[in-house]
Amino acid sequence: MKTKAQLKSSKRQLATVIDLNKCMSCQSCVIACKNLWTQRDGTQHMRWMSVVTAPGSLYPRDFEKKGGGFAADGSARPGQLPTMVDSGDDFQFNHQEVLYGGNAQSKKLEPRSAAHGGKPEWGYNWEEDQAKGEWPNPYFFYLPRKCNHCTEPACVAACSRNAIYKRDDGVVLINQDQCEGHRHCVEACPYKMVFFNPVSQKSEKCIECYPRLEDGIASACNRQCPGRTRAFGFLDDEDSQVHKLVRKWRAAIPLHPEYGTQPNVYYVPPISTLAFDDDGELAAQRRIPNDVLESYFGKDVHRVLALIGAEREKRQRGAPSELMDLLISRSWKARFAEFTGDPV
Amino acid sequence: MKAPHYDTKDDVLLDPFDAAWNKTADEVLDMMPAPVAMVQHLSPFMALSKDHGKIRRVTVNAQHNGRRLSIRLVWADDSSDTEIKDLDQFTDAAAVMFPMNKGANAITMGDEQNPVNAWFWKAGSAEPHDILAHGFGTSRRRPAKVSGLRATSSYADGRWHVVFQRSLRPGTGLSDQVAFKPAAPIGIAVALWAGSNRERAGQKSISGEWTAFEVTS
Repeated sequence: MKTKAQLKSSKRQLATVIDLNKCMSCQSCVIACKNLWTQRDGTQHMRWMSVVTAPGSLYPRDFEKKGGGFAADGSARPGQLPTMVDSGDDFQFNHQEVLYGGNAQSKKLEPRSAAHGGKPEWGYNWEEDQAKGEWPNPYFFYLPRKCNHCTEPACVAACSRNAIYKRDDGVVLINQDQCEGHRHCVEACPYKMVFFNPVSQKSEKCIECYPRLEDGIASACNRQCPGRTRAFGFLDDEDSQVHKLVRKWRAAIPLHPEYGTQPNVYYVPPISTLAFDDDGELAAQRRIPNDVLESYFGKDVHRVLALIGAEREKRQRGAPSELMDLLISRSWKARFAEFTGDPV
Repeated sequence: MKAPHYDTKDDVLLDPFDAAWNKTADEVLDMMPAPVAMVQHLSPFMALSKDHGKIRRVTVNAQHNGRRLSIRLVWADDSSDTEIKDLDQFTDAAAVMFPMNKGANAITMGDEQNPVNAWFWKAGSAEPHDILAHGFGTSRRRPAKVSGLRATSSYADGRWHVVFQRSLRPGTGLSDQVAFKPAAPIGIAVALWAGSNRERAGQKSISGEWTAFEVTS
């Protein structure tokens, strides 16, 4: 039997960088993932890749209040299981009645919850574009999320069947033959990026499109992003944008580092527009309050915001900035290191 | 406890309500929450569980017909959980376990050198599983067509009635299945899971160390 130390070890670590200044919540990554992996029975509610509006209840609903992960002393923190509705539900529409029953003038298309059959009370991306803050300074940003393929994966620690392991490339997988559906991994994942399939009665999660990776093709969510928000590659590959953004420039940082799992999706924090002051003039501060960003990305976010601000200013003066060039990325191929193969 | 020999048909022995059970003695076992601190190394998250072990008592009856052994478990559970309708739901389950040799410890489900053989029934599942384990987290399930294990269940008047049945001898080629021989006492242990209390895996009620078990001729 393998030890937990063996199960969580990997030779290298793949990572994704997402620039939140460029994400426009078009859902291309979400659809790319769903088309490939979660159209099977029992997976309809799952979004291994999600993009929702922050701040808010996010996805799965209120995952930040559902515990899991590790305390500062490394001890396990108790976690809760999301419900079907928390996980985004799977709305059913009365297409037959409206479109084929001759009722088009009298009936409306209405969603029904697959979880309880009634009118939906919550669903995926429920709070789309709902801003926080007061006029004239409302604010929000889009938060794309997927499995973080953590360096200290709580799911691996939690599985009493030892069914969860890291591959040599750092991707975390659940062995479906060994999984018994006990869901300790779901409780343990502080990001709630492990999902239970009630049909197979096993837990599932993002597999980072590993069959594509083995053919040198970037994972579908990364590759399908039309906004070039994503960089992908090995953290130790000094030529990769991932290495340059995370390790060299330290301009991309993880979500909720305090959860203690050392996640490997890194975010370039959003630099919002300048706020208006009481006289309607542009103020010095930005619309998204710094403490709000700190609540997502930790105290390090202040250093990153200052760094990006300084590099922007440098570039505005006409001086070169490697960081700005990396964030702009005029060629999509530059973003994906060795994973630029064609999927078809 | 003893499993007496009666000339009863195999199928009758599977009926939890058949009068044949009235002739057997009730063995009432006190159940306790499984000590999850012992699984800290396997799952520090499961080890946080505090409120498992809802079922505190089970009545066990046993009999055989010279070919097959039947063991009936009856316990009170105010909720019958046979389906997973939402992602935070779990089903009721029960297991009986036997040591494969004298050194096997019941609470740890055996160890590397001392395996245990268990019969596992899960409400709503098509068939029971025959399990071989070498300690926590090592259980491997065998389907009924390999193990020859059968189970029936019924929930009535707030009580689960579950009958396990298997041949007294191990299946052909299954040297790792427990064998039952007259005048060769072994041990039995019981585990129960209350789905309504989110019990699964090590979060369960257990009967503790082995209770003596013997088939009589």
